[in-house]
Amino acid sequence: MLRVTFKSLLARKLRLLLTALSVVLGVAFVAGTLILGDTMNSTFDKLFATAYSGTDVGVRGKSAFDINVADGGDPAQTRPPVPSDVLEAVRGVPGVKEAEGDLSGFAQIVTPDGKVVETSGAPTIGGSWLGTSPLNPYRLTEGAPPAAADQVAIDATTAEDNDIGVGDRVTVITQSGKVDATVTGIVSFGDGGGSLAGATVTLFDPATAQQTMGTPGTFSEILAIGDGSVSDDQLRDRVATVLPTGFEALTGEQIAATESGNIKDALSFFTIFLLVFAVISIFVGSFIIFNTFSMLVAQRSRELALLRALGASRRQVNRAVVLEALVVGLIGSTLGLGLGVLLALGLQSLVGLFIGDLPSDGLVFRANTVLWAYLTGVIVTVVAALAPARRATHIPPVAALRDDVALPASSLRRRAVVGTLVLAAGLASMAAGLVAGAGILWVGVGALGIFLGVAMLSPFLSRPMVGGVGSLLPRFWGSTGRLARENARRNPRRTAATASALMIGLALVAAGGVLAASITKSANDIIDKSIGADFIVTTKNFLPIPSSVADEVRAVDGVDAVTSFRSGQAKIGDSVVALQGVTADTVDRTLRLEMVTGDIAALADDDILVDESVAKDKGWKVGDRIPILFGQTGKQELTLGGTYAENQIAGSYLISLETYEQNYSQKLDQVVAMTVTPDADVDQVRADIQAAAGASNLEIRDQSEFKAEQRKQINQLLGFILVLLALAVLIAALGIVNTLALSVIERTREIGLLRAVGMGRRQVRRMIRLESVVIAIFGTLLGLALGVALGSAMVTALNDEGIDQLVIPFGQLVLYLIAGALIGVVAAVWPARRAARLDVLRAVTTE
Amino acid sequence: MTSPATPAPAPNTSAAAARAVDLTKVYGSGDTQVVALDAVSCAFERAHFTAIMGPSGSGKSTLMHCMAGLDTATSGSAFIGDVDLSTLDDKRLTRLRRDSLGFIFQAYNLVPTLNAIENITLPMDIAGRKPDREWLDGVVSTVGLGDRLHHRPSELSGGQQQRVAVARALAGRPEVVFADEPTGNLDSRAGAEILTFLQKSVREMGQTIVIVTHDPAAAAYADRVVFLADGHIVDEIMSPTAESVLDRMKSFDVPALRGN
Repeated sequence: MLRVTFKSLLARKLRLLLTALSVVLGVAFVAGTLILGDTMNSTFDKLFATAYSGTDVGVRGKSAFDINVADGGDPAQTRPPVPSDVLEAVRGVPGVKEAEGDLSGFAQIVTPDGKVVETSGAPTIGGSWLGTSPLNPYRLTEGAPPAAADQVAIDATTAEDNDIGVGDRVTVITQSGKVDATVTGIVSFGDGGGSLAGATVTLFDPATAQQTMGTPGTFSEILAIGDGSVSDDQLRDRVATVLPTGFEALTGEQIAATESGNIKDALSFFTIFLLVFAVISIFVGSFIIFNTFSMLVAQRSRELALLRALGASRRQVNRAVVLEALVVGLIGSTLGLGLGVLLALGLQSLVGLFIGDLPSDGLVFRANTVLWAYLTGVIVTVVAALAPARRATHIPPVAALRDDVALPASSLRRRAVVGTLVLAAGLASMAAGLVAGAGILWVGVGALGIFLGVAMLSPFLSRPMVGGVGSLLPRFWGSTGRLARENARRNPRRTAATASALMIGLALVAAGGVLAASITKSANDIIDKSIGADFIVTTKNFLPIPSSVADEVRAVDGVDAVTSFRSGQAKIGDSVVALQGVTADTVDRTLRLEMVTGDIAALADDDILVDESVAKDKGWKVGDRIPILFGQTGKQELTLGGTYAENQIAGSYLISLETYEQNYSQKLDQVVAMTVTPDADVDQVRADIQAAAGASNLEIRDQSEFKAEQRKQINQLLGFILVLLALAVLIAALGIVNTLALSVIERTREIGLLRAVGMGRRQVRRMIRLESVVIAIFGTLLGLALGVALGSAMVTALNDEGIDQLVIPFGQLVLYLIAGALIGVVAAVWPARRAARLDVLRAVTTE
Repeated sequence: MTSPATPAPAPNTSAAAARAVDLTKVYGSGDTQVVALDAVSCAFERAHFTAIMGPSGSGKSTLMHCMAGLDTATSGSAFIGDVDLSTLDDKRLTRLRRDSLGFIFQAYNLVPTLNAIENITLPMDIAGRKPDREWLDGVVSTVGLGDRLHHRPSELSGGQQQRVAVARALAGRPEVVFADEPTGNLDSRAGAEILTFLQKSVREMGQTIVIVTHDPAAAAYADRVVFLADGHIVDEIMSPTAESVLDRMKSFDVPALRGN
């Protein structure tokens, strides 16, 4: 029996390869994503291990609450700084050989010729030069360390990339303003010149670091090294005893692990995001595998019946098919794993193109990746082949002797019932996720259920829909068209399964299109409704803006009101929320805040303003004292000064800039918005703002440009998603190739006859091509309809998030339909050529 | 027996609708080389019903396939009218098959997705030609499908399917109709019906028909039987009967069993 299986596999090498290909691509996506994730993680593990390699014990402030890194919270922002008397106390702990106060913060370099050094997403780090201490992770490779307020050392990569050398004058943008300085030294990270993962580093002498990045008299953290008399853990415990409350002692390894963990958490969404698309690809691939095995079983029914007639049991036949799937799965997974390495590189540059460079020094290939690649590949293949294998066992032995025994097919009624149930379960799960707020996982599972349900029901749609689409064919292509239409209709299950694979990809594409169009429109409305400013200043890559920019802009002639926006996290009640600090006396002009109760002027008295619906929810009234937990300053109470109607730009909580600065040590703006005086020359003012702001990475936009920028960002994300979905669509296209190729083999005699009675090769090719196009359009239409429904449901569910405009991008949908038809044309190229090349005589006399 | 239709216009053409001239077909090479046809020359007269007979492996099917442009000869020529098939590329050959030849196969070979009448007009549809209504009606009524014209092949019996195939072969008024064991899959009654139609089409419509068969009863419907053995034409009988064919066949049986 085993020999039969392998002989059968070998006899159908091409089919085997085609089937395996749909496994290969899905597995490659999974493997590539895992490799990429591991590579990122390992980069950060190494980076922080290097940074704290010399540290035995560190002391840090403890945030009053655990902030949410995955939601964009910055732990450094909510950690209270460490006062210098703590440093003295630590130095006094027995067993501590040496202790230093370290500072880190924001520092962006402007080259001698005025160019702002940018990263693609990595931070621009400022630090403190800790001298020759082993606590210092930086090593001087050239020049001298910074020793005065106008001296800095920078990292070797930044120096090299920007052609900065020792002795050059640079400007460093920090949260407290610009510092003109001479580069006195070039440093490497760690002894071997380790990777900084794309970050830039500027080091000041310790006193200047305190001034530019922190508060004089405080440190970001204290690093200590032991004399070797006790272990790190013991030393940590000893240090802990001298600390005031609100501070904690950690070993160097602990800090490194925490820091690395935080970044990994913040980036984990990214791996998960990619994995979602990998799962989609695998899911689509499983359709192809199912379909291929169904066709193979149907085509081999005589052979399988012969085995049964010769005494093979049902179990043996079943096992033979499953074993075949297992082999296909193994081969596919192995090839997929290899391709995954290439795909990881591709994904890396793709992400770099759309979002920002991912840190990497060499791909990391872990055993886990291998395990998951094989698990997904093999399990998906075998599971997809289970139903065809079961059907194979129902082939009666008599089929070997007669050629008119039809393969038993599962009843359509059962399919209808099960399909409807699966669809209903999918809809319920999606409703739970979208409406009841059960979470994104429910939405995903719901989507899978809906796809599966629709796929199961699609044979019922295939006859009318294919007939409908195909009714045009005879009109344009006569009998070739009619034959193509009938071929597409003759096996509704096969057509439906093939089209379903394409449906999934296009449904997601269409849903993305609806979401993107709706978000764009809604965002435009929000900007119109919420923003009163004439110009909005931001930076590229969401880097923060030094507070000095707002001051410089304020001084420009013609600029009227200038508002800084700073964001932070705090804990109110049981939840960590985002709040914004704004310039109190100008926010009424730059934002269109519609007060429901109270007065916007209350902000200037250090009151808090909240969204009307939040206030109602919590039962707050103007004048109430609201308890707020800040990370650095702990429990505070602010008076509710007023409530405002929902404003997406303002968010839910507004405090004054003064209140913000009392509770957060960082002084970086997210956005600076401004109005100009009515009589000002707008173009002139704009040019002056640009000149005053100085740094070239500041982007100044008026409202319509700001809208365009939002649209651009949304479209960029949509583009990224489209590229990721392209693999799923490619797999679906391979499915069409596979189906057509197998159909051509099945219909060899018929094609031979058509050729014999005078059908030309071109006509044969056209016939196959048209069939392919009909299948592809069927899948595309199904997908687009489903996608518009899904997208609309999601937009409706996101209503509360301010996405209240449902836009269906018809133009885009038409383009997708054309693309779908083109996929059909391309998928048919090879099967059509095969069909046209059939030897007429052999085909017509074939069994 | 009817006399040949209008004399051929060109001086060098005889009354033959199809001719083989030194037709040779060799399969394989070296040790495995098989000579299926060995310089066969013969002519198939216009408006005649010719049967090709011979034991298995005699080359009768190969002869027909080469004559019908389904297979290419190793050397020599096959002519349909004045056209030498060996000079045609695939495109011209396809067009010739479409426009000048009709086919009937043992296994019916109908397109399962088309109904009876669509199958019948298929070659004309492929060519994008309008069928000659009157002629088509005549053919359809001759084969007697009547009310089954809009049934698909799966809804027809074997005899009915073969009648559709016959109608398809005749509908386009081809120069020659080639039939490969047209009654091989049918019971004797259905087979006799098919052969009667073929005979009628020769006598009443002046059709040229060449069939390959190993059934003496089938060959008896022909005007002439050509016997093939080991790739050679070994004999022929005019106005055959089942008995005369059978007698002739018997004489091949012994060498056929011994040789090969």
